[in-house]
Order: sequence, then structure tokens, then C-alpha cells
Amino acid sequence: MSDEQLYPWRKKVKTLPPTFKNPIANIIHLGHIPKLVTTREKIRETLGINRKPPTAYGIESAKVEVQELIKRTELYDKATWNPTKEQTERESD
Amino acid sequence: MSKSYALFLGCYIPALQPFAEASLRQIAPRLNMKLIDMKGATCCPVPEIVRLADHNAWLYVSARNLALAESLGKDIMVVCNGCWETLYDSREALINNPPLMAEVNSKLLPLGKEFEGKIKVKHFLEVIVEDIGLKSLKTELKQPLSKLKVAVQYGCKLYKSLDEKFVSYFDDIIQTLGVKTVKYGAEKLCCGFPLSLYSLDKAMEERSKYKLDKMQTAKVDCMVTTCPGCYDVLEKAQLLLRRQGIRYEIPMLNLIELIAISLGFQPQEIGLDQHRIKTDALITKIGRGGN
Amino acid sequence: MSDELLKQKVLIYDAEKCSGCYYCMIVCSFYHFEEADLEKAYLRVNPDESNPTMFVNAYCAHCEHPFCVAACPTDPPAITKDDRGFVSIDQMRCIGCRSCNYACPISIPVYEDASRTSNKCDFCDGEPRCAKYCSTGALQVVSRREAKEARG
Repeated sequence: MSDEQLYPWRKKVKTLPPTFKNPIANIIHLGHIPKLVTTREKIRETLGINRKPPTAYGIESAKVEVQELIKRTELYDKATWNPTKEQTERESD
Repeated sequence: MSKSYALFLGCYIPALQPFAEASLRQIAPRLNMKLIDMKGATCCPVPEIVRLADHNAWLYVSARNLALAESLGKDIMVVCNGCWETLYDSREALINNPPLMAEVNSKLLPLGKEFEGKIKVKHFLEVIVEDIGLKSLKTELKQPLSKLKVAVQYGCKLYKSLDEKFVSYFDDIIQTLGVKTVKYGAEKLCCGFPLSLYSLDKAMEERSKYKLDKMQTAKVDCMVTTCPGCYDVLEKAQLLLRRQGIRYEIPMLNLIELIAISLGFQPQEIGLDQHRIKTDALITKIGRGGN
Repeated sequence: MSDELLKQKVLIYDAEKCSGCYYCMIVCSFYHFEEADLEKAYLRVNPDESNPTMFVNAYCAHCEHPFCVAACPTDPPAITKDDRGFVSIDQMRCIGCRSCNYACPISIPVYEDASRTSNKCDFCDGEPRCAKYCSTGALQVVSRREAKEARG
């Protein structure tokens, strides 16, 4: 039996396991999981490949497109849900 | 005539392991491959995390990547096991379910993209063995590495391919390169990435450390993999365990780097000397023809 | 076994294929509790003591005559086997007596402190996530007939 059936009045808390949060936040903000740091950019340059790869690392519009797609799913709310922020908003009401 | 592919790099290779990307771009013309960059590609997205957290988000983002390749009119070549799983599975899910395909396309159309299922998703191993051919690879070999002892890390996803064919492709390529594979007894064991979603310490202790211990005992010169995820986990494990006073210094290589070396590229050309785990001994050994 | 019974879906595990990534357990706990916690999974993968690179997976077989159903003391019973053959625990009826925990030969039902009831694999309503997302394809959903043939 699902939680909604068991506890119909309980507000559904949208959350993610802590280990999932950073990778998902990075996908939303960067389009990729790891950050491309300057030292790696320099290594790329010495190896004769572009400082920034032709992916979302170097193309801003790609990030925006991924954000648009994720905003249409429940994941966006889950990933950006901030309990402290919600608390402050409730208190200020 | 050279074969063209839409190149899907993923996240880890361009950001953390540019050596593999540099190697790939160098070996491509030698192996008659033309690589076309998928401009604006993003994370595949990572199956272990995004597919579990939200199946729709996973499908939409991967369909966008598939649509990018389709607009180039080329099959995708994937150089990461995880990306292969995501793109292959999402393509299968979409082409076998037209209503789902229509729903996903309704999300892609506002972005000016559409996926119709015209292209295929190919793993790097598949491209080398099925399209390029091991014979062509063999004729290009310049650097003998017969005495080099390598430990193979296949990565879980390769076992998911039809009849585990990618595992045998991996072995076939290694054999063609003439490298000596050392059986260290934990080839199939997971690197620890999925387990790190529960506990990094447990993953490090029970998986990564166990594997590294086995490799150390087998006295291997380096570890070879096609999975940037395994590469990253085992590299990080070595760096983290070093802080506890446990030193391994097992160089990590992507199979693409090993192919580049065999084709005669100098270790410095592909950045082998810039790895985070020291590769000096390995480079000296390569200089001596693997002896 | 009747033909109807042989058509029912069950899980099958190939130890030769399992890499011990434990992702099935993470998937299971996420699907049921939105957590990545091995302790909360309804199936358990453990390393073989004699060979730590081989694994043993204990998962619900949704038995033909389930011991857990027979042991359930509530009336009507909290544990039932539906038409598709899936054995599940009704959380509203379970009194948390743990009889099923002890009755099951491989202790599949587990007692949850938070809900004070027992919980077990519900076959994800016909589409087990553990098998769907298994990293190597070691866990698969097959018919009871195929499972019997594979077991030899």
C-alpha cells in the first residue's frame, strides 16, 4: 500500500537521497556531472584539443535546454527543494 | 572509405580523463574513422542516479542527445559504458513504444529537436571489432607491448550486452594489441560506484580496495578499462587510500590510450605523463617495448 | 504444477553474472522508501564467504504455498497471494507479530521499526525494479517454467 493511501493527509515531501543531490544539481546547472576545472582545461590545451569540449561545458544553450527538459518533470522540484527556504517562507506568511 | 560517427564523449572523459579524448582524436584517422562532434551534447544522463530518481527526466535528456546525433545523420559512437547503457536502453524504449516516442518528441519539439529512431548506438568496442575490424587494427600496430602486464576491468555494463559480446570484444582487442593480460581473480567484481551511493567507505573498503589489493598482488603494470566510471572510482580510491598510508600506484589507462600507444603515439603526445597516478615506470617500460 | 502456475513471473539470479555492485538493493530501497539504503532493501546480496568475488542473492520466490501466508495469524490474513502469484503484506492489516519473519525459510519478510509492521518484496506490482536496473543482467524476470528449467 502506498504512502498516499496510508496517510492521505500527510504532505508529500519531495526529496532525494543525499548522494543523489550533487550529481543531479550539477546536471541541472552544468549539463554534466563533474566540473571542468582550469587545470584540466590546461591539460586539454597541451594535448592539442580544445580547452572546452564541444559539449555543454562549452555551449551555454545546451545547459538551458537540459534545464527546460528537467523542469517538465518532478525531478526539478525534488532536486531544488530546500527545507530551510520553505520554513522561512512559511514563517514570513 | 572512412566510416563516420557522431562522437558522444559523456562527462568523465572530457572533464577528468582528457587523455582518452586526445588519444581517440589521434587514432581516429589511422583507423579510418571520422568523428563528428555532437555540439551541445550533455550528460547522457547517468543511469544509476537519474534513471532511478526520475525515469522521465532520464528519458527526455537522453532523447535530446539521441536527437542531436540523428540531426547529424550518423550512428553514435559511445566511449563510456554508462553512456552506452543510457543511450542504448532509451533508444530501445523509444523505438519499441511509438506513443512514448510521440510524448518525448512533444517535449523536444519546442527545443527544435526530434528523434525518429533512425540512428544506432554503438559502443567503442563494437566499432573497433565490427566496423573497423581487428585485422585493420593489427596492420596499424607499431609499438610492441608483449611484456606489458595489464589487469583488465571490464565494467558491469559490458556483461549486459547481447551474449556478453562486449566482454569478448575487449579480450579480442587486448589480444590483438599483443598485451599480456594478468588474471588477478577479481575481474568481474564491481569497482564500487553504485555502492558508493549508499556508503563511500563501504564501497572503498569492500570493492575498490579489494580489487586494488588483488591487482597489486598480481604485480600488474597498469589497469585497462573502457569505463570512465570505473577509472574514476579506482583512481580516487588510490588517492584517498594514500592519505591512510596505503600506496598502490597502479596506473589507470583507458583502452583507447593503450590502443594509441600500440599505434606508436608517444606517451607524452597523449598525456600519459599527466595522469594523477604516477606513470613513470609504465612509460619507461613502454619505451623498452614493454620489456 | 499447473500450466497457469508455470506462467507466473518470478525472479532468477545468475551468480556467475553478478558483479556484486549491490545496485539492486539501492534500487529496491529507493523504489519503496526513496532512500539509498541497503538495510531497507527487500532482497539481500551477500558475498560468498569462501570467495568474496562471488555473491549470493536472497530474494522472495513468491512460493507456490508460501510459509509466510500460512503463518500469518490475522483474520482476514495480512499476507496474501494474488492471482498473478505475487505475495504481499497489507500494511493496514499487519499487526507486526513477526510470525512471517520466522516462518520464511530464508527470512525474506523484515520487521520495520518505523511502521511496526513487517514488509516484504511485492514484485513492484509486476515489474521488479531490481531486475530492470540490474547492472550486469544477473537478475532477471522469467516465468516459473523457465526458472525451473534453468535450475535443472
